[in-house]
Amino acid sequence: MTEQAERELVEAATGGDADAFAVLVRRYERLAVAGAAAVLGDRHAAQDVAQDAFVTAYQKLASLRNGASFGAWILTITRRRAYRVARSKRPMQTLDEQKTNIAQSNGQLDRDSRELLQLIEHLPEHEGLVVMLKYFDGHSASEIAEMTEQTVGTVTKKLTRARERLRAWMQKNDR
Amino acid sequence: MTHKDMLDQRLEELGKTIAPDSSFANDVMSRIAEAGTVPTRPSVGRRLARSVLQPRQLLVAGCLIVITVLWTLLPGRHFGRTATPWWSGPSSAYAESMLTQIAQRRVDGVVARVRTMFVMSDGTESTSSTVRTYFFARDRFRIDIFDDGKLREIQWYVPEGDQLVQTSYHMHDGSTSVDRHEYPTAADPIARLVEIVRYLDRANRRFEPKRIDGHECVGFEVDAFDTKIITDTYRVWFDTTTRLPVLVEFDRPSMVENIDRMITTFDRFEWDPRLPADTFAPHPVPDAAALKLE
Repeated sequence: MTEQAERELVEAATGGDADAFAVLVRRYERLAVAGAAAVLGDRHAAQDVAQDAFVTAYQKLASLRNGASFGAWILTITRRRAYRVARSKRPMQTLDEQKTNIAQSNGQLDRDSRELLQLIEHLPEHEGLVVMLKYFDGHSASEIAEMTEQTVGTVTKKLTRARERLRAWMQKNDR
Repeated sequence: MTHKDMLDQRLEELGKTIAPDSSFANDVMSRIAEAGTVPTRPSVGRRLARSVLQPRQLLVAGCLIVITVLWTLLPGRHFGRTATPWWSGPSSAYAESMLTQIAQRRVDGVVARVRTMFVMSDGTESTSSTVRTYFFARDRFRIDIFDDGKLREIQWYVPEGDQLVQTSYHMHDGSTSVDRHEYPTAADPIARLVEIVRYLDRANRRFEPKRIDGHECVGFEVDAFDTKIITDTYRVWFDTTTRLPVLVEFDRPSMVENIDRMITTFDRFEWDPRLPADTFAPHPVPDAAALKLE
């Protein structure tokens, strides 16, 4: 799928073509869930938040200026919703309630997964995005380049830098 | 297995761990169908805001500005002195008029003071002792960082190819560090301002006029959680005469224990200040010093 096609998908969806939006959802569902999971630490809660974010995105699609930046946009919406959810739940739950919720949810991420997700969250946004597009959504560097309107070289450089940062942080955490 | 392979493996495993259910997309589409909603076209004001940012349409925007300027200069016309204040009409109208005003200024540089206030869980407020002075130009910016009134660091952000090079001079030991960021980072003050103004027509609160730093101001609060502006809510007060911002507050929740919200404040704006020629040129030498603002 080329970058042009991405823009076309957004345009078609804006005109009310639900199938075009469904393609966008499938393309970015992992990215959105990852963004929410980094904040919430729970896969199921992250899916709920990501679904909400997609519904909101559909309603506000006409306000997206650059159709080729849909990925970054949905990630931003999802993260903000996740922070809201995390924030609204925190003061209301006792420790016992939290434990009960975790047991019921059974979607709680293990410590390593959550730590790695949080490290990705701390990457500069443009690097975090390419990492998620590559590893969570399975896109190649050339596909990411088309989607994000960058050269393949720039995407590769970003991936390299992101890996270096992640490795350094992980080593620091392991000490 | 190399470090690179190990990291790749962990990332791929993490991708599988957080993979959404196979019904994820169908569930989203069902919810959209049930809600019966369709994408909403932005208002005229917002579309105009976008067009200001599109280089291809700058010519058209320029013509509109010229027409507006000529119109205001016609005898008997007193722009901004009409019986009805500009902020009391339809929101799309004042957003449009402000964008026109901003475009007319042709600002090349802006200075602002930036502080962060923490709203604690017990309701008390605490303002950080760190104060930043931002110097924005069209494509570059500089930040002087003070702790308790003492200059701690100067950062210059200058474009180089498709990157933004950050040079930081650390006062305590005279060291310099260089980092590179992807460009564009929203450095253009006008682009930033337009981004703020373009959402005004969704303001959920309008504040009564009040005096701030000697300016008569009118304020708006905007819910921005689904915009590209990195905040949940922002509040902005404009000078009722110049229609330029006097105070902007970005209000967002905090994930830090005991801190409920963080509010970043931009104030003490200076529009088009006469800055020294080397303001944006990194000069990491011992005589580096904060710019003295008049």
